[in-house]
Amino acid sequence: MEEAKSKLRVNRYAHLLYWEQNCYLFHGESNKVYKIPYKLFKALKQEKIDEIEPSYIDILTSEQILVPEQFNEYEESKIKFQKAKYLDSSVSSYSLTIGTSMNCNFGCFYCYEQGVKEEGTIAMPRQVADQTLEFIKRNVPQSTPLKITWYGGEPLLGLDSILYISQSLINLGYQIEGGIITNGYLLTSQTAEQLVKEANVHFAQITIDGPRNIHNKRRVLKGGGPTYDVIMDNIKNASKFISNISVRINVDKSNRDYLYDLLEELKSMPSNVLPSIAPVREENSTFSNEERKREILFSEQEFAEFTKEFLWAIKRTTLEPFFGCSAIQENSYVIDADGYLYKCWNEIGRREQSVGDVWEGITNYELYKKWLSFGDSDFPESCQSCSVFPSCRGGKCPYNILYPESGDGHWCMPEKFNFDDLLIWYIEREIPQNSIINLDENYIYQYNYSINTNAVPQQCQNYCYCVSDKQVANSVDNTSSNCSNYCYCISDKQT
Amino acid sequence: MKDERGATMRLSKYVHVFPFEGYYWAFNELNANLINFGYSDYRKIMNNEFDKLSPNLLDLMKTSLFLVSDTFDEDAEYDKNIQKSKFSNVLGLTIGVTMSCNFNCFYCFEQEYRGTGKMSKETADQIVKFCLSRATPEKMLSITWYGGEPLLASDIIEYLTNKFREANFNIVGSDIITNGYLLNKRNAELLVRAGVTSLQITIDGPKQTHDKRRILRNGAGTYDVIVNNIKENAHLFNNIQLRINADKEIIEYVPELLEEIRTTFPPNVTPYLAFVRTESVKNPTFGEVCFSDKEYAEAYLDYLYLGTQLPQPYYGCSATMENGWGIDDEGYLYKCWEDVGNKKHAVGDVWNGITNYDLYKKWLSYSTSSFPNKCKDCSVKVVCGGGKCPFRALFPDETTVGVLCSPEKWYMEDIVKYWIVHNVIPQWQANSNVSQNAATQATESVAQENQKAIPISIDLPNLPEKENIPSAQGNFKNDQGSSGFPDQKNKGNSLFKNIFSRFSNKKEDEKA
Amino acid sequence: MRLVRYSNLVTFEGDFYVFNQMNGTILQISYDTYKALKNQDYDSISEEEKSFLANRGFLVKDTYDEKAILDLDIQRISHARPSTFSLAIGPTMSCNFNCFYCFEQDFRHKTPPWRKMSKETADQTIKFVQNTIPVSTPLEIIWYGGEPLLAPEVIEYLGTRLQEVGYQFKDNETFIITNGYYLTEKNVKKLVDTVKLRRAQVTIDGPRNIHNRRRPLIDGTGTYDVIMGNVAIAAHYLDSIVLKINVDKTNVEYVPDLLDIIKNELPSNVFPSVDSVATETVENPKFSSICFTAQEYASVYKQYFFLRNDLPRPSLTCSANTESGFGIDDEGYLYKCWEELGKKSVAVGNVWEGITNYELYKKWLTLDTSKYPEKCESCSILPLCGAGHCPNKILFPDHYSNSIDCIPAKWFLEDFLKSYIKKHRNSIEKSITLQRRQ
Repeated sequence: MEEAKSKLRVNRYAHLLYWEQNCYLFHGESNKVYKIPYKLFKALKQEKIDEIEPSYIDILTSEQILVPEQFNEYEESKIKFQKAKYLDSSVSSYSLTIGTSMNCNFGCFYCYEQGVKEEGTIAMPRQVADQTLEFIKRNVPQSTPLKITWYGGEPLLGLDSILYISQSLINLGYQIEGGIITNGYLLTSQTAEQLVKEANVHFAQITIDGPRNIHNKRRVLKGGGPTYDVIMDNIKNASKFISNISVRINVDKSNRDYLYDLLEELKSMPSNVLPSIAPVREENSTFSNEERKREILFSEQEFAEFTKEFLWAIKRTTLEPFFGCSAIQENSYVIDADGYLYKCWNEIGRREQSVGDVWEGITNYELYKKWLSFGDSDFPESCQSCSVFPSCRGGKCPYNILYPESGDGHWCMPEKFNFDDLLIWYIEREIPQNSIINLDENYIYQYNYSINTNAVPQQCQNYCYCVSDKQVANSVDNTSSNCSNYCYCISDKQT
Repeated sequence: MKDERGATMRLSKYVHVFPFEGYYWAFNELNANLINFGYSDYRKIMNNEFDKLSPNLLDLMKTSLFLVSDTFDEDAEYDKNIQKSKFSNVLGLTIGVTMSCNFNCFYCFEQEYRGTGKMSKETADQIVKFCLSRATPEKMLSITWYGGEPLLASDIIEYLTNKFREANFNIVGSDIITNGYLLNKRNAELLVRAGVTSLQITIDGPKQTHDKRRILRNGAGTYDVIVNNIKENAHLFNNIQLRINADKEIIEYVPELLEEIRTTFPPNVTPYLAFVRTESVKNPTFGEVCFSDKEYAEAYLDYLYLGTQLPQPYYGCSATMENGWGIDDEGYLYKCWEDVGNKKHAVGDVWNGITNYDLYKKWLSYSTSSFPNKCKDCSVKVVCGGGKCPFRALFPDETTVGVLCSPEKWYMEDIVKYWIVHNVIPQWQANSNVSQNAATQATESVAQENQKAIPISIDLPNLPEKENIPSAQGNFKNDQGSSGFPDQKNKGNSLFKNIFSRFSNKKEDEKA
Repeated sequence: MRLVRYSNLVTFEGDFYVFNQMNGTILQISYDTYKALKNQDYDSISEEEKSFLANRGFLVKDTYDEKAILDLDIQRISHARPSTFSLAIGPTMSCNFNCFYCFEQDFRHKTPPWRKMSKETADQTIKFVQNTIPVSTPLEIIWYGGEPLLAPEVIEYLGTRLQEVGYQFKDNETFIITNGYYLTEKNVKKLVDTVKLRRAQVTIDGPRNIHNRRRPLIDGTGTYDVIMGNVAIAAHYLDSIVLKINVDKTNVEYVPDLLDIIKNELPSNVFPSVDSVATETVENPKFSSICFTAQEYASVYKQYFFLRNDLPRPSLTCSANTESGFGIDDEGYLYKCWEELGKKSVAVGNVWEGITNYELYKKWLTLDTSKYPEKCESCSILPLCGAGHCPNKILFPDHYSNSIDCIPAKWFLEDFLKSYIKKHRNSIEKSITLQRRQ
């Protein structure tokens, strides 16, 4: 087998960056950032593996920066993606998105729930709330933390249910953590206080689409009517109670020029109110005319360009590997005001996409399995050879991949177009500086020392491996009561 | 808006209901939960009158998936759990340190690729590097030393263990499969130093049968040496499993052997009866001595007393796990331990990593859709899992008869009943009250007059909480045999009825 | 009132800035001010803010004539009573190197024995200085050439004599531009002691192989190791050494290698500086294919901007355009432009007779924006570039074969500003409305 020594090459997901005289390597799969010497940088950049100093090879291979020729990054990445679904720590909590009302007091033109909310239930009936509690009792152990996002329609139209369900769960002994997605119009001080005290709500997302006159053209009351001033007031007041308020700004080409006006206004808000910009996407054919659509909506490239200027305000653009949203995980459901179950927020209210209901649990296993098994053959073809797959995963949205006809399909994330800029931002602003691994000679020496038999110190360091205790004892004297006197000296390599 | 729906519920597909010892019992394959209740409840359940059950029982049955909604898909639930158990944070290795062997057993499945060399230090070093590139941050590692006969390369065992330790791996488990001939004091101590805590050694019956089958290359017997080795060194380890490959020829000698084991060895040496079934010997000429499925099932029953578990759902083995690997002495990688050494089935090697991604992914695709047609409507699908051997399910063409059925197919109830006798009834006896609640998590109800709902739920450990430690397939698990000793001195066949009749007598005595 | 013409409005991570090219100042402003300036809606700016901006030169009267002001600035510089006098002295016009792009090729003396300034000429130079420059004026001395360290004794003599007769050096230091081959410890120590040498510029064109091909001795021997060795030691005696890297298309890819070497091997007071081999310093058209065009060079410059990371400043002229600067070659000839040292046909005089060619001399003082090439007329970065801020090229276009090169800021000013803002965010002055908000 000796002659089959493998040829090595650079992992496709390892990115090199030369920035202000520092050479960085970012491993998109493991999410590690290294500072590397220039010589190594050059050798990796030119793929001249033979020119890499031999002392570096071990650590580069164990970090999977260098991989064997036949390594298939894409397949391995997909397996990691599935593994994370089951071993990810977030799986140990349960996440529910509950729509307490399928109706809404607003009439925004780009709403992806159009058609649903017109005939939708105004407020979740008590029976459905009770049955939801039953469902929870049956499926969620009390010891599991429960994250609830109140949703809709406009959830505050069903405020009673929010409080009722939350209180009931607390009384049953559950630990709940609440968040709410609301248009903010009904979020008075009093309501905010109630949400915090009775439903443990610590996060709210409220949408404002621009400065007053722009916002008031887009986010109107049903039947017309401005909403800006009421919402802004409510945000100011609610921020005293709710610890984390995210002001979502849906941008497209028609309001992007007014973005700064709004951001300036938000500067005067307390520090727990932060902007969060997201592009308006085509959902469920809000546009009948392709041309009109392109006039208003960003394309994926246009949005990538846009992010350059507003990186500091766009939360979701990050190079961290993406391991799926809760729709593809087991312990998570969306429940609408009539008690139907879904996997994805985008589906709420559309009965034909429901996977079951709170009486019978899962009934549509086909659909349910489709969500849970997402992650192997579902990704678009183009992902196979793409170097930003670990963070993008075909657009960070399984729904867009599974249901391309419902919108404008999957988008490549900005990192596909702007990788270097995003990496600079990631390194300088997002990651803690002490997480950068400095692969200098010192580090390599330590690393090799620890895995190399030849580097045995002359002096015994008293590192004994106690077979009874099954651990390394620092001193021979440190034996336990049931010691069978089998100490193995790591220095001397003998008992 | 939906109305409050009545329960369009039904009994789950994989629930077995039967009467026993004055109660009705229900066993759920999906989660190995067991409950019991009185006759009137039983009638209600059989008539689908679930709403008439006591709220506690109803709730319990719903939570433990005895009662499910009409549209529930049991197979999907099972598949979900199979999928979950493919992933763990522990890297599991079965390392064949040499493919050579000092024995010459006729039924050896490695005959064709038994080699002569042993693993080189370079290969060992590369194994460590391979593991470093695949390790999770916790660097947990579980090793089964294998081969050929691993003790022929005991120096490599020591070398490789040290290399792993130096690379700061956390070796959470280390065991060895050996013929035991070379388990002298020196090697035993070496294994202790290497952190090995359990061994599997095969003894094929008492001396007269063993020495005809498990022979040295020159034909000499090995029984005495092995027994002596075990006697002298068993105390150094947590436990030694004595595997007995029982075929029709030696089955009659098994009780004798068991007695010998019990009297000769310390209590940490336990028997593990493995029945030689059609095609665990790849040579079809040995077919006559092999047990057919049904024969195996019956023999299995006879030796149930060696086992202590309720039938568990089968989720696969380390071959279906993402980070379970077999490695041979030349550094080739495999998924299945039976493939180790058979380079045609290698998925890669420790220098190049995975080279055959298709094959690798095929192993990981194990699910109910891998099961053959005959499993489609089988009522014990969940505990059998397509024959408790993913190899046979995924690659039926590489076997002669494909998937082999498990004993539960014929004797599910008997097996559960046996367990009840040994684990439930003694507890009842221990408490003075006649009707008892075994401590459970789900119930606090006291039995009422006619509705003696006495749920005894034994919950399956939640898979995400416990690490899935890839085990060498089939070795220390209960899939093809049973292990452990009961208290009773029992030998011979058909013990089953004996036990129960003795027990029933006792009860009558008490009543009187 | 309006925003001054040569200014830039920049946003960076939600904050707003305005930069004034006329005086190189940058100010952080509020969004309202930003919008108002952008839309020329001056009425919406508060009076207080307006006067603040006017004070800093951002807001000017409607009739303000930027070009005229620039001309005035140039005039002021040219004719101001000199606060210092700069002298670029070439103690020898010989050079031991043979770089292909040398702009002094035609008048450089290439073989030993090196022709150095004679004692008579040196003495006469001192007399000339005494006659021309008041003793109270600090002198800015640049040791130049040829290769000045071929004649260190001349440097020592001149520098010491100047101090003996009462002159002070500006900032108490002199500066040398050398190829570094003779920047030995002995020479450096001597010059530090006697002529207050504090800073040096040495050129290295890449890692060993690259450099040795480009900057060899006359006989072809490589010079890299000697120079690097010298610099490593000299840096301990001098305040700072600038390592100039002349890049063209053949060596630009090795700049990171060299930067890495510098970072690892040389002390921290050695500063790399990337410069272009401009087309016209190589008068042989054969080399124009390897030289960067202005736009190409701009990208290189941008890549290495972080080495300086300074705020762009207006750059209109140089000492050749003033009455307080001369170049003096080894034979005592006087020049206005350093790059012409040794080219006697364009000398304006000599140290015996003083100015002899008044026409030429006066022409040097006549720089103004009207003499800029046509393309500069509408250029948005005129003050920063100053038509290449080389009066020689502007006043005497026939001296050079190529046209004036635009500076990198022409393409990347906003990037440079943003880069500066990123590093100095907290220390940028805020406009009055912003200050009020704090």
